Amino acid sequence: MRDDCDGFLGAVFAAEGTGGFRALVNGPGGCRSRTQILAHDVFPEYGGDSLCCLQSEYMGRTTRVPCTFLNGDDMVFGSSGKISDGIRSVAEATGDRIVLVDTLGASVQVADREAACEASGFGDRVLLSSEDVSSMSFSQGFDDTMRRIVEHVSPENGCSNGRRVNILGYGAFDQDWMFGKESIRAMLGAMGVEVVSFVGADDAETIAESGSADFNVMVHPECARSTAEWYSEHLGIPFVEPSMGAPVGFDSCRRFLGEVSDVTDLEDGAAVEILDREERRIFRTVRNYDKYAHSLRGYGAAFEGMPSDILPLMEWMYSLFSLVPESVRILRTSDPAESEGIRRFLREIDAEGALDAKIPESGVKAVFADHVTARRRKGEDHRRACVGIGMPFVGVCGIADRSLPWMNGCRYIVDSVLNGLGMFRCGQPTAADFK
Amino acid sequence: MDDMNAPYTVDRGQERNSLPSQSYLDIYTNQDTGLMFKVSVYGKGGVGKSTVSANLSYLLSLRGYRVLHIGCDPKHDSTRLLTDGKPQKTFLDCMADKDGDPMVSGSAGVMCIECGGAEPGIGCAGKGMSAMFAYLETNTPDDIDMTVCDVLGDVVCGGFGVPMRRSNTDAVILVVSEDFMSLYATNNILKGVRNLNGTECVLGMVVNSRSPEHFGRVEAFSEATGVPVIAVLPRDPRFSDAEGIGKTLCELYPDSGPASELGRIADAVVAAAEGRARPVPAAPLDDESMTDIAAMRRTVPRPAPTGRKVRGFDTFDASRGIVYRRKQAMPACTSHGAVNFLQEIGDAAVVVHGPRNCAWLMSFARDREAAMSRPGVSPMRPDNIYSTGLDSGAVFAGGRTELEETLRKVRGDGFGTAFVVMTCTAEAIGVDLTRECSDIAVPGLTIIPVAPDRRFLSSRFGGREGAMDAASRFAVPVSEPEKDTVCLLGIGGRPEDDPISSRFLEDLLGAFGLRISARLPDETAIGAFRAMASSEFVIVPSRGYYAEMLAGHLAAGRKVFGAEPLRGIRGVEDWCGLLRAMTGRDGGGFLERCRKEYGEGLSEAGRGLRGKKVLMYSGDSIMPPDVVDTCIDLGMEVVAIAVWPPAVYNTVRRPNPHAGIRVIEDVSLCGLKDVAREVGADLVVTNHLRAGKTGLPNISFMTDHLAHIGSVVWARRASNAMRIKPEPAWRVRHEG
Repeated sequence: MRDDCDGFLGAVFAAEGTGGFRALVNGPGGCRSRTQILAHDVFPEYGGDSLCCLQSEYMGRTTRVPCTFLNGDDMVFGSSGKISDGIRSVAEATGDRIVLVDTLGASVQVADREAACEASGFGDRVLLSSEDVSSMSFSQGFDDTMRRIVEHVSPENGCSNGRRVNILGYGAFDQDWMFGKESIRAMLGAMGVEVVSFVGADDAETIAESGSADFNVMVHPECARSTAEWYSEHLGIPFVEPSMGAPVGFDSCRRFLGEVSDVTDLEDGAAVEILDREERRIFRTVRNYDKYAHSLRGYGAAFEGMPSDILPLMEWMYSLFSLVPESVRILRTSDPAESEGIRRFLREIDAEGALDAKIPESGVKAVFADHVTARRRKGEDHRRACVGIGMPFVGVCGIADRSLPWMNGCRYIVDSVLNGLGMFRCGQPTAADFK
Repeated sequence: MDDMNAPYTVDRGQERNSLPSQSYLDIYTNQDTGLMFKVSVYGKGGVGKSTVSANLSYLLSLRGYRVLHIGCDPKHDSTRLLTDGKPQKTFLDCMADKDGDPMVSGSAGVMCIECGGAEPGIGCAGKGMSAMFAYLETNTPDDIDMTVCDVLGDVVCGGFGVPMRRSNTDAVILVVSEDFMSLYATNNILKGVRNLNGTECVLGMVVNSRSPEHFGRVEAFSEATGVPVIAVLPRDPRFSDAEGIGKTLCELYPDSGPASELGRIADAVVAAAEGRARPVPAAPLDDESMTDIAAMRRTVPRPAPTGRKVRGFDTFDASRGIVYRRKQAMPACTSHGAVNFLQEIGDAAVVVHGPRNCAWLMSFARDREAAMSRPGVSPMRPDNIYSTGLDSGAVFAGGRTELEETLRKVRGDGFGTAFVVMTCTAEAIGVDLTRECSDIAVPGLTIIPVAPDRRFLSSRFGGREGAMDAASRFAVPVSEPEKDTVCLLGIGGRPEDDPISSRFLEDLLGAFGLRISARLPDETAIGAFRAMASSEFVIVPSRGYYAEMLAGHLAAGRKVFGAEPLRGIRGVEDWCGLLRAMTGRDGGGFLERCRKEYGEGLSEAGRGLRGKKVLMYSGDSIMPPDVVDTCIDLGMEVVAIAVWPPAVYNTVRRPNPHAGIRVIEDVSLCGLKDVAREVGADLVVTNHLRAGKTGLPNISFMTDHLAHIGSVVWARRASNAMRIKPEPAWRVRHEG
């Protein structure tokens, strides 16, 4: 996909990803319809028929992403009435709290949102996303809205035990996030750390308890910085920012565990041992197909995605398969500071030219990008391994686990790279070719 | 004034409120209380708001208040009397340049900020105003006690209403003259204050006198609205002198009569700030009362009607001629239809002039459809959708720079043609797309603006008509069409998506000596429009509104043949008849072969169906004719058509074309079981997902392929439906 999404979508993801909250899109239904399709894909589970979609016209007959459905009349004569009515209607139908998110088109009206919320009679159950959310990057929109949600829920310091953490910067934007949550919980659990709340991928009740955490651990720092600062400032909860980005790939997982261990003073040996064991197992398989793995050596790789996913993946692929970054496109953030680690690494390996470079027509053996782009790249050259590492997840129901964190992510990536190569390396069935 | 709650009224003949003998500054300073008193000065354009507000800021500063003067007029001339006549860099310029401090210190230490605006007639100044107030929320110096906001006369949109919101204004001062139009504009401002603020915040009127003989008009207005006159400024050349050298009159002539009168405004503000005077609520008058005011008559105050707060959901879809009913709001979009149509033209770029999300989500929807239609098959659809990436900054600047940059990028990526489609954001800020596209020159790139819909945001497939028009420029009819070629308009689906149907279509046409020159608007290229124009025949399968629209736009000058949908064996018969009439050829036994295949297919696939009774359940009384035909040809009996309750659109009920089949209207899902029992149905045919609740065998209308091939597959599924459980396990087990 040529362009990147913006903070509007980040805000919607923050609100819809938090149980007990709804993103009420203030704008034309066209903006909502595709957002709702995306939401349908990234929140793949549905418990059963929910009547709320029929009880409010603002739900548009579906259960996610309600909307004010502005039309030409509303754009000309004002939308305050629909905002008030929409808040009241959705709050009554769902019982949830509302995050009002303006589309850029609707924001041109500069409706008095505070007054409209007040007029709804549900002012205490509504919070406003930034008026300027469409000017933000996706990660800023997510983080800014998440901070507002946390502020609104207003967690208080609780009983901590030195081993309780919140996970920040993890949400439905992450591939197969439901599995990812379990992986992160397992990873930290292996070193005795308990996760209180996944702030951004949990419900409001767990956010209310999040004040009892001893630390906040960021998975995608670009999506969590202001939220982490809020916790630090208001509840005195310090945060851990992983230096290598998200725990994607063995090296980054080890580093991640070490950094959590440093701040919590908890031993990470057992968790690292589990990781080492899995790495050894995977390597045994890779060695059995060493011609495939070896064939990647010195070829180029392309990476598109969030910096905190790209950095660990890029470093890992460089060390594991000797794949050299030749095209790196940083998405979901506009803050150059977030990509500093990537720049540093590219400088270290003398590949600075890869940043923002187009994918060369030949010589690139692996592409890591969102599922749509990965599929497109595969269509352009079937000999490349093209690995989906983020949303949108075209046509994927989220039944199998392809989440990136921890060991599942390692298996998924290695499997996708080796099995995605369009090549045949059997040769004659001699002992020399088979282990 | 003893009574703190008494309205603040200063009549010309009365003793004015005096400053308190003891300064309240020490109890009112921002540092101590965290409070800030906010004054907004409104009035008709040219009435003297900037002069009054600059003098007011200056005087308040002299009285010890720390004042922030906020110029809200896009022509940014409010602060010049406080900055020695030198225009300061505006907030929007600072924002656009990402450089400079928008706040400067002026005369008597007044802090000054000017909002500024885009070029006249371009962009959205209201959005800029909103951005400045957002900036001020976090960047107003801590020690500011008072803000004086000089606002554009007309509250033309929500953006210009921002300063009068409750959170931004404690007191509104209205600058008027004795002219009726000035008072008429002021009455409108009062409407805005009532709508947007709703508190007692109108401090009073300042009369900038132009025709003292008509002062009675002001008095009548004041009496009717309850807004007191707090100062009357005479015509005085010293105002002009001061403006000439960029100073306030109060600074240049502090002891003059006008300065003294301006002092009364400052008195009033201080009294209100200190709680010694209470402003009045906005009570605008209706037109009849204003007619009295125009005639300088006292009037019985009749309040202006309040605006309608909630507008309806029943929305007319102008492009499809249907009304969306309540509970199903129309997902209106200005660009979806245009992008949907144009994205199929693989060698042209589609530039979506709007925020990044619009293009991103449209690309996503397109690629999702492609991936789900053809999983594992490559390549995907054309990667040709671009965004101009409008954001708040671009919105108030008009977005021209972003459009130009994007078009250059399009050319850089190798495209020679770019269609530019407006989103609702671009439309809302009044982008003149035709002019911009003709002004922007990118060598090697043909830039084609897509005309927006005639009615703004009145279609879920907005812009489609404009897109067809834009594409039709490539379909110029030729004098000598290419013999035996056929262009198919609106057959739908891409050949790759259903190769079986595509092959059949080619065989069918081939049997009559024809070949397909183009399929529009399926995945295509600009060349296909030219091919269409040179085709001997154009066939439009009657697929409704869009196919007809497409024919109207693209097939100008060509002879167009309408055809029935190529569904079932009757569809094949219809098409063969049409092709025979078009070409004069007999098709070489093609139809007979199809009939034979159909008969054999049904007898093999439709085991166990003969004699069964079928109930069809749908949102319309008109069933897919091929499915009805197949049922009959299988020896089944279609006993009734049950129609859903009208819920979504006001679809016009058409006459029942299925002679002899009973139609039962308004059947809910809950009532379907009873209806099925009543008619003795063995099988329910419906697209309703929960039809299994009837406990009866059920199957959808869906046929996978064109012609009789689809019918045979459907017959096999219907036969299977008689054996499988009405509801699958995933539906009923662990539900909820």
